Amino acid sequence: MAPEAAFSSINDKNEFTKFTKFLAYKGVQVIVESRKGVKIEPNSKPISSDSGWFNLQIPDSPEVNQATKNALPSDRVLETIQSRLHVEISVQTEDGDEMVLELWTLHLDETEFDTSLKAMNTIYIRMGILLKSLITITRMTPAYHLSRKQRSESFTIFYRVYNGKPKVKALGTSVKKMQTGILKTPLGGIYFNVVYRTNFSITPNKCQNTRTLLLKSDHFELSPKHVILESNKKKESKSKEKKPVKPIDLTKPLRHAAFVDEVLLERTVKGFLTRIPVPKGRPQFRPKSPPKEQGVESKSTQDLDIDIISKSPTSFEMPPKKFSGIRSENEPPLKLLCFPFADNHPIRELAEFYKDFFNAPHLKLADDLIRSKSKSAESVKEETEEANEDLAKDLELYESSVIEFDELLADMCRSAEWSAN
Amino acid sequence: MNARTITFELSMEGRQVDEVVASIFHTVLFHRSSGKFTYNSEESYSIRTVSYVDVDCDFIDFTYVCCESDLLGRNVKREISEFSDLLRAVDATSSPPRGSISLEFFQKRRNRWPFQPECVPWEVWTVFCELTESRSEHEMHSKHESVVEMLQDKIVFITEIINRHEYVPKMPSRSDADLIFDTSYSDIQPYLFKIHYNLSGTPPVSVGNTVRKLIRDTLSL
Repeated sequence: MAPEAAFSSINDKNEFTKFTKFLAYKGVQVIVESRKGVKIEPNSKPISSDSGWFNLQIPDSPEVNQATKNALPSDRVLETIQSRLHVEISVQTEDGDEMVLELWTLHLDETEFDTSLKAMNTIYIRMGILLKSLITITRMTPAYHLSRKQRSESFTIFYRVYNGKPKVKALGTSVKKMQTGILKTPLGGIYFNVVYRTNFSITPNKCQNTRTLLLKSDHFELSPKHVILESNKKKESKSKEKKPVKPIDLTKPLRHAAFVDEVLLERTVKGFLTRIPVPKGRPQFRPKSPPKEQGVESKSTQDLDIDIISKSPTSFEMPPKKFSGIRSENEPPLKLLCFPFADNHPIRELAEFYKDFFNAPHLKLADDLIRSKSKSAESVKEETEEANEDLAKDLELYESSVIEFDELLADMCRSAEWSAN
Repeated sequence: MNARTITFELSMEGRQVDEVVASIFHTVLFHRSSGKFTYNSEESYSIRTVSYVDVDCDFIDFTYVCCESDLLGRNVKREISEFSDLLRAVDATSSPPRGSISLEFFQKRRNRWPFQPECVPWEVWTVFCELTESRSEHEMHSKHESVVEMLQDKIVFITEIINRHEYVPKMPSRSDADLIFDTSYSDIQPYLFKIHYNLSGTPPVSVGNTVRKLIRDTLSL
């Protein structure tokens, strides 16, 4: 145990508590920053403010600070760090499968005290060196390489800050540990450590618990050993968001069964579509708002620099700015050249089609999105009403076609029986 | 004074030498550099912040962090490249080429006129390199993995050593700043350091030894 009178004055102890608090805040920032998947390039940071904590230019994301604040009560800083402060890094795939990758811990070990270190400025400088060690080590674990890939692949890295007992079991049975050096102070030794999984297997979904998924067999940067991702049965207590039920899209062919007469099927589907067209306002099944998680919520590391609230990396993909063959905004519309005696030539028809296609009004998807955000409540209401009218018309169409649909279905059944015979 | 000496022994391919050595030296220099000091009076000073950048290696699957300083990057690169070029030019027919390169931190001690200040090393990091050649792609692959794993271990070990704080020169007053820190950099302020190398595989001669030898030679005259 650290001696009671570790510091000569109460001011020194308060100062030490303040330094330790900021060490925790900056430590969490460093860990989360390193998992954003962004390489820190020269001149990528704003011009240095000369008053950065520990004389290091570490980002100061308010969201990450809030997460730390929730786990580290201001009136119990030393006690909380004595009982350990954790940052959990996990990965979630597009399909909703998730896996805890590593667990970072800040600990003040009371048994490792050193009463000879009294000068507060020395403690401050040494805490800065400890943070440098943390910055260095964050690049060593497999999760760093994985996070660097997240912008181009279909997964997202999440972080969660909590205190108390570490949830090491979530890392699976095969783990490795790394530790920064230990900074001995009169109140105990302060250090960061990381426990990370070496087995990167996840269960694709609940019904395939026994099967293993080869997530990235050739992913050299994930691990040099061509890791096969094995099953990770551990799921956090949080209930999973239900996947939306997708409506059947009649414009897309269903998969054919064996020995199906494709020509007959195609004719039937075409006939069906001409008699009952696909309505405009097809109902969209939207998932209900996800149930609130119990305990501390994980947050995406990528959300930190993007205002749009979205946790899927695919949603960051914007439509390409320019397609070849489509007129750009500034390009003048096409005019057909009139050649004598060429009116009835089949190429003329193609040229007309091309002209119409080329001169089509330019789509402004991204701009529309921005504009729709800035729209007033009234205009949004108007739009909703319009959409509702469309929907009502579609419903009317549906209802009026019910008998026709039944007849068609019966007809199809009869023809199916006939062909089977 | 005995300098703290830390040595690493690594075997690697010729093309990996620059990056292996740079990742070790830059990790050490990142820990051993502070922001620029601005002295308000003889004893009171304020320190500016240090920025850092990620460096992805081309010949090893590895990323390390170094101080954001063009000049420091260029200086370290020049020294390591000289060593790497010489090491890779060594005839490898009889035995694999070996060499060592050291990053030595020293402080200067004022001497009586007309002598130059004495350089006293307080920490020396030495990397012994042995060049290997792979006969097959499989062998190259497994060696590459072992270089990365070894390097990770070394980096973690560096953080362990540096946080022990066994000996680091005291923060100097304004008039002594140049005896402890290299103040020639505009963006950072590393402790005074020197990089030197040796190709025979024996430890390189340190600045301190050179000075002592020089004094001995002078006295024997």
